[in-house]
Amino acid sequence: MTDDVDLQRRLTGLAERSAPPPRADLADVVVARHRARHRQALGAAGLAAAVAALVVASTTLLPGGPAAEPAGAASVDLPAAEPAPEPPGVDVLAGPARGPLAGDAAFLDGVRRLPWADAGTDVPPGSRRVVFAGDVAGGRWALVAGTASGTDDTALAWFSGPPGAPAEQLRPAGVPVVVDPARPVARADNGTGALVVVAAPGDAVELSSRPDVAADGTSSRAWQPVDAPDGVVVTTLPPGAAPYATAVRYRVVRDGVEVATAVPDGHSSTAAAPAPAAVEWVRPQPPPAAGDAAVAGAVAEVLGATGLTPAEVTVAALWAGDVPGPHDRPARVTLLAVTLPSGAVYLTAPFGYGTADGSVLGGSCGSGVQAAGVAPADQALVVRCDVPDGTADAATTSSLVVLAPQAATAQAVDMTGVALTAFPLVDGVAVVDAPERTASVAASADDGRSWRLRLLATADLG
Amino acid sequence: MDGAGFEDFVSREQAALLRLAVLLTGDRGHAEDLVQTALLKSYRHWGRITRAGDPTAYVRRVLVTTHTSWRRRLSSTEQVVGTLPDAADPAAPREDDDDLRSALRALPPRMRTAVVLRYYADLTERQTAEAMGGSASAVNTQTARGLARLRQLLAPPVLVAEEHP
Repeated sequence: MTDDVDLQRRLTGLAERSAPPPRADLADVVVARHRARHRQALGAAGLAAAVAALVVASTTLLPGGPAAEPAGAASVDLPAAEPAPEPPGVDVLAGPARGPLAGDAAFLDGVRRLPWADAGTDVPPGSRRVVFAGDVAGGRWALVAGTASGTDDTALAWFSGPPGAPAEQLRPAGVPVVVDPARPVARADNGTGALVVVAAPGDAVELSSRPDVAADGTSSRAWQPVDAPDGVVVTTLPPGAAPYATAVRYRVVRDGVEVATAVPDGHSSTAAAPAPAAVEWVRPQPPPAAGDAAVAGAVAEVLGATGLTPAEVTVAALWAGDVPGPHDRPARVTLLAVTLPSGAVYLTAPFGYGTADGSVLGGSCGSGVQAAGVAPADQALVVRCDVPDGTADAATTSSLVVLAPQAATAQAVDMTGVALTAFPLVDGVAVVDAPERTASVAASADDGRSWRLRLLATADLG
Repeated sequence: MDGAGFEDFVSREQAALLRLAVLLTGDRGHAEDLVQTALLKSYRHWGRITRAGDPTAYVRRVLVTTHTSWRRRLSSTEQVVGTLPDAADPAAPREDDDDLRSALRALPPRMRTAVVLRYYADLTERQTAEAMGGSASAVNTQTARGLARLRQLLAPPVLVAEEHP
């Protein structure tokens, strides 16, 4: 995938080629289902009314009895409330062009004339206005807003080119998107560190380059105020170790009220992959498998989310092994513990398997952050791996992977504490079919010690 | 209830709803069920919905929240679930589609939903947040992480084919 334009094009193509064909009788089917349910509901309401009448009669006959509840109407499966109207806000895209090149009328005129690379969003040139134009680290950027044809929607497009480029050398740098004009926008290049934030004139802008994960596993952020003349920030962050870092946040404060905290739209102008982090194996490494390729992506994702370099972390593979995969092909699961500078540990469990066409399909069984103090060899965790088969019937093979080094047996437990199944651990590890309602695992040692392990979900560093 | 209006809406919007649903569910059968369920829920309040304006956004929101609730019932955690279907026309497979299908199904459901709504359905962050029942900040984060993961998955050589005995 080269850029957002490509992603939009490919999503559109995939949807068009994959969607089932419309059926001519769908409206009739829906109305018929509605009427059938309505009749059932009326029947249930009638029964409820009859029961309520009996209750009223009983309480009337029994002085001091509880007051009867009024008979309720049959429940209606009401979806979420109607979409609320968007509150009015300041149009952050309004006004004259901003940025270092805002005074170059010829350049701005050239930017307005640039073609928008988009098949679906028609923005007449007459409605376009340059919101930002300027040089950034490693290039020249411009942001153009316009009104999508036939609507009141505001659409945005970024353009970029080499440093000092004339307008005609700028190219679309992302897919034009329909935006809420009251929300600030930002774009970052994780390769060069360039960052532009466009807020409303007078807004205060703060940046946080990455989360701070404390030894107890909690996350916080340090925010640095930055100059934002006319509501625009042009700055350079230290280039990230991962090409698609998601660690950076910007925060916009207006009249003392936070109006947005968000990740800049990120991309990387460099194709450099992060330097591979060395992986220390805590237990014997199994024979190589195609799915081992998922490990590099998982480590890169941790680096991207934390904003750290490979030199700042240590990566331990706690265990790797195979779980049942689709079509009798095993999927390789690797339990990784990435120790952060504070000592807290980012746990992540990628899976991967080779498909019939020779490619590798990868995904995540879960992730989370754990407090410092546990040596990799003693780490205990549980993940549920749902491995999809990639076919139209959407079959998923679900396995529970339990790592509890000091335990001998374990039980899968649901949210109410009911044990679903029990199984032994071999060398502190078990791979079993995942009971559908598993919420945690209770593990026990032969000497009576026990542990309750929650399933890893998705790490959230804020 | 304006039956003719509902029929016209279904006739006009059915294909677009099915395209969105198939990206969200990853399955043609589930996509059909999801669209039908969303239309059924909307039809119950059709008069009120249409009085408030164009019902498209409402029905799309019902579709997304219905899909999300299915996902929540299927899995208590944000795991990889669901797959995307093979091409509708098996005689015309697209290598692009295969790659994107594989990458999308590797995203957790809410991350995939955020990316699809922002980059396929062209919704704003706030509209996406409303459709998903969350905050704009959460949508922003999910979208950014989803895009980062898609780029990793789709940009070779992060995941490359290897032959092992």
